Amino acid sequence: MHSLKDYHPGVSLLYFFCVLTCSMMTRNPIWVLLCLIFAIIFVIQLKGFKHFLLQLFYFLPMLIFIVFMNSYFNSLGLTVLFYLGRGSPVTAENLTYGVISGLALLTILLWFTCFNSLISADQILIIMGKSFPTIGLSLAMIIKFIPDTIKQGREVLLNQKAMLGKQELTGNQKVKFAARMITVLLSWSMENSLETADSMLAKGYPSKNRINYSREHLNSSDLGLLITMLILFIIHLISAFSGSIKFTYYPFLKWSGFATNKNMLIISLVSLSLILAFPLVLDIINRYKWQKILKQEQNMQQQIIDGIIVYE
Amino acid sequence: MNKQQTLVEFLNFSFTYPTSEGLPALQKISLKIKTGNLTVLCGMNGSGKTTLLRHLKPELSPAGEITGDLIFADRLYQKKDENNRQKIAYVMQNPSNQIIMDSVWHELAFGLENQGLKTEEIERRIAEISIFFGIETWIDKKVAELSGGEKQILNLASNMILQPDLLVLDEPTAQLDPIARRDFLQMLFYVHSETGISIVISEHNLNDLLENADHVLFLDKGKLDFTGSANGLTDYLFNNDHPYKAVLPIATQAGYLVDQVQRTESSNTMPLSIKQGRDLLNRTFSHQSAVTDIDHKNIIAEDKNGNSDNDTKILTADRIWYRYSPEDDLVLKEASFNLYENEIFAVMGGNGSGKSTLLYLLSRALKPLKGQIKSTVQKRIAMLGQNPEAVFAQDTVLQVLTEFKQRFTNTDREISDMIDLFDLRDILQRHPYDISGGEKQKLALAKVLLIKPDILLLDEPFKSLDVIYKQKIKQILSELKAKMSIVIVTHDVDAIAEIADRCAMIFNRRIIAEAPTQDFFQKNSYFTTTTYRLTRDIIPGCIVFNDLQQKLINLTSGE
Amino acid sequence: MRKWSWLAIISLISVMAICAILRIEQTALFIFFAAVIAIIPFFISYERKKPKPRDLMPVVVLSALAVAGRILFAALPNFKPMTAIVIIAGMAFGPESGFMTGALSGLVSNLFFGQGPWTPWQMLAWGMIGFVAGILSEKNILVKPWSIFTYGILASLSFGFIMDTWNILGFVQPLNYKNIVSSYLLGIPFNISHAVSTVVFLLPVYKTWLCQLKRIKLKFNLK
Repeated sequence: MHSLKDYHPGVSLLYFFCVLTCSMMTRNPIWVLLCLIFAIIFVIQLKGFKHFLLQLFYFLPMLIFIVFMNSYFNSLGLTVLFYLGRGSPVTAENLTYGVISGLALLTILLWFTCFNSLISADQILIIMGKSFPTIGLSLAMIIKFIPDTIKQGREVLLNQKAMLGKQELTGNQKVKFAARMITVLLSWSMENSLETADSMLAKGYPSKNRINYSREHLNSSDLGLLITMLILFIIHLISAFSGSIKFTYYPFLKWSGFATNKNMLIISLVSLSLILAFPLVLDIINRYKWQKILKQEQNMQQQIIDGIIVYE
Repeated sequence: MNKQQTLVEFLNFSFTYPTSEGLPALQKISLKIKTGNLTVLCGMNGSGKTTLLRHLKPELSPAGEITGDLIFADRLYQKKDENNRQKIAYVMQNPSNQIIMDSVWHELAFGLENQGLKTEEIERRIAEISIFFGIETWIDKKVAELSGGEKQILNLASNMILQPDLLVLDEPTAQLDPIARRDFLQMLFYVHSETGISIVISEHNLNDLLENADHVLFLDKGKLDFTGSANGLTDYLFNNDHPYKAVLPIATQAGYLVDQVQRTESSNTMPLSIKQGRDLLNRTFSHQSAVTDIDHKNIIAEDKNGNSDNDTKILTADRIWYRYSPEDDLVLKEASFNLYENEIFAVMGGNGSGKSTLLYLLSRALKPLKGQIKSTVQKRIAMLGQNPEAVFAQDTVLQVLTEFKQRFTNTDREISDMIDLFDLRDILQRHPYDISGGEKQKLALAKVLLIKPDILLLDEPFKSLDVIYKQKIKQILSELKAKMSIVIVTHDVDAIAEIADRCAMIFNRRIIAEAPTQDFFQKNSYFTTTTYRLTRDIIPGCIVFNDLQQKLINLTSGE
Repeated sequence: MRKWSWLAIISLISVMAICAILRIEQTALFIFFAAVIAIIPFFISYERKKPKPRDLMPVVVLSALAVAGRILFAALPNFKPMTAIVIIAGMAFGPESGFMTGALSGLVSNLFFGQGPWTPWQMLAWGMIGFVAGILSEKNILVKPWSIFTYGILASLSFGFIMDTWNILGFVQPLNYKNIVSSYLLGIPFNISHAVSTVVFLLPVYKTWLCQLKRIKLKFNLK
């Protein structure tokens, strides 16, 4: 997935748009599981196995919540498994639905983990700035102000304490002290921002001509990737919704599209796999290219060595 | 030389703020700013420097009543021409506040984005300016990772990238430490000599600046009292015995002193740098070194006697360790020192050497990791940090002063005396953020003194003060010594040498070189006062300017 | 422009209702993007105002303060100033600035704490808290301390309510009153702690803050 970083943030963004849409658009277990598997692969690749396990652990209560909400409060489904307390019967159907729903949510969370480690604040600014220049600018300024504010906050805290020497505060006083501190911080930050505003004026803001410069350029290979991904996505949408994806849980589990639409099913599964595997394919291509160059270099060296030997 | 074009011309220009009841902030200013000149604008706090400079940048001009004319050259500024606005660049005092964007490259691009330049042009300009300023290595950094000095260099670069014809700087080094100040000024002089851009700069510290100035303006109470060359200004100030002469470089003051003592009409131009000053002193006094040597020993002996009188320890820092978080490096390690009753103890050191941390530890706002801070009796400790803003939580100056009235049983009399001591009477009803930097410093000091501490801790109390304020604060601190012990942490070697009893440095996480002030500065040859660097081997034993004055007067009367 | 903003909110709610009633399989997808789209009219109306540098500053400073407060006071569990700051922003600088403060501080704080499917909901929820605070104070409803505290409590509770809704709508089917009610009940402890922390913050500062901000407005020359 690291290869995505080599390209314009738009490519990553479109990728996440596609996979999030795919992960959310159906509860067909095969679709959900396929998305989940790829999300797991990428999280492990980007953050390591440990991080994945940790995230899984934190997600467990949420999973239980969703399964419980789906199976405890309704009696849909024919295959009764057992009764939970005085509630409705738990059926194979509503249990499956609960688990698959939970896994779908897990998939989405995992995609966002990838998103967070791949897309930097800078790139979010670029994307926002393109469509909302003033808001993009405000965001950049907020990000600039935060470390300043934290630094000043610490300074105010230390100074307020230091001014009065030793003192122990009770809980209520602590809250009052914190409130007073943040009030000082507010006036101070506001006062400082006056100078920032002047500096903006001095550099010609606001201006009718203002453009949004970004260090990232959309080049032809980015464009190629964007178009390929978009085409795959459209193919997937058409083939999936032409019937192959249809899966009903109640009254009993039934994949109605499975039998009727074999061709469409194959097309949609292949296109989905291709979309999901997109960064993996890029990684592999890059590695292959790199190895090819390495081999060529080695060959060249070998030839030179051979040449020397021959001449000798 | 007369072919220089006029960029901006003030003609009988007066300006009055709407709130100031008809008292003009600028009065009948007439002056011309020429192409290629480095113009230095000097004057005391509140003399109207900022007001004048802001009129040079029409976007920032304050609202108010104007009489007279202000004429900009066509190529510099035309009201109707939107595209021609960034021909005047403006750099302000606070390094962080004037940065707009979050990352260095984004900050550089900001002004260019406003001009609507093409991507290729923006990239070319960023590239060339980064190389010119030598900032390529930190172009990818976030602004928050830069030091204050680097931030100010970035501000210069992000203004220069707009290719201005006139660069205006309003006290750009007031918030910087001496090393960062030197780097900034060197960069500025480099920019000036390499590009020939016209520069107008206001400063309250004239060291290093006058010798590079083409044109000097002196503003006093809104009137332009002097325009001309640097040497013209020094003559003007000394001939009129103007209090502002204290701001001139020590070398210059020494030059006048020599003239005065020798009672000769000087035909020389006055020295502006240490080197020129040393040349002058060498020429005048090289044959008299034997006499002064004896004097020197006497002074040191006196000083030692003076110090042995009071050696009641009031506070001891015993091998303290500190770090801000487990991942951070140690800030202090095995740092120890003693503080005696009724003394001023000064701690100096580079940026980030842990000076402020030491004070926070002494004040007990932080707790040492290891080691102990012991005070002999139950002593009240109060500290004032670098930024007075951090202690203002009220809406008026008076409320700031009376906040702890009950807590520390301040009588009305005490408060009233404090107000008079610090000259705060006229501004009691103002908001603490609306007063000048020097007044803020005084207000904060007054507030801390009302706590009635036995030990007073001060972090950079001379920062961004002009000579007059500085003089006043020095005097107050010297008087306070009778009632309390004071620990001062500062970069301002010249100011502290005048009032401190003992000095030390923080280096390598420890407190080293603890010694009486005279000894401390005489043992150092680089990290020492300007006077000492000027006179070191020529007239030994002069730490502060007063010493030199005494010596020279003794010398001439002895002959 | 305010009409468009209300329209966006109403359409978002109708999309959610329709999805729930028709038991649409893609509910999670639709309402997620509906929330993203609902923010856009607010953003556009802010862009249209073409704020001058000084008009931008309150939103920027207050958002930075809200996020910095979340980081600075991470140690004090009951001192989470975000919601309170957004309410004050709306009261002092009007509905539009209130919305922007809420939405932007939501977005930026997630840059530090991690983006997720909750991002657009947080932006909307905090944005609306600021927006409504602005409107109520324009109508002179938020004047008395008790009305401000009541609003603080209601706003914090509805924040939790909005955040829970996506989970329930998107991943629980079919919905009936039992699982809706019990889902929200499960969230109650969190929401109450949020409401408490909002009031704990508002209680000591709202008066001084409003006063300070009034002064800032004068000094900045804002209307």
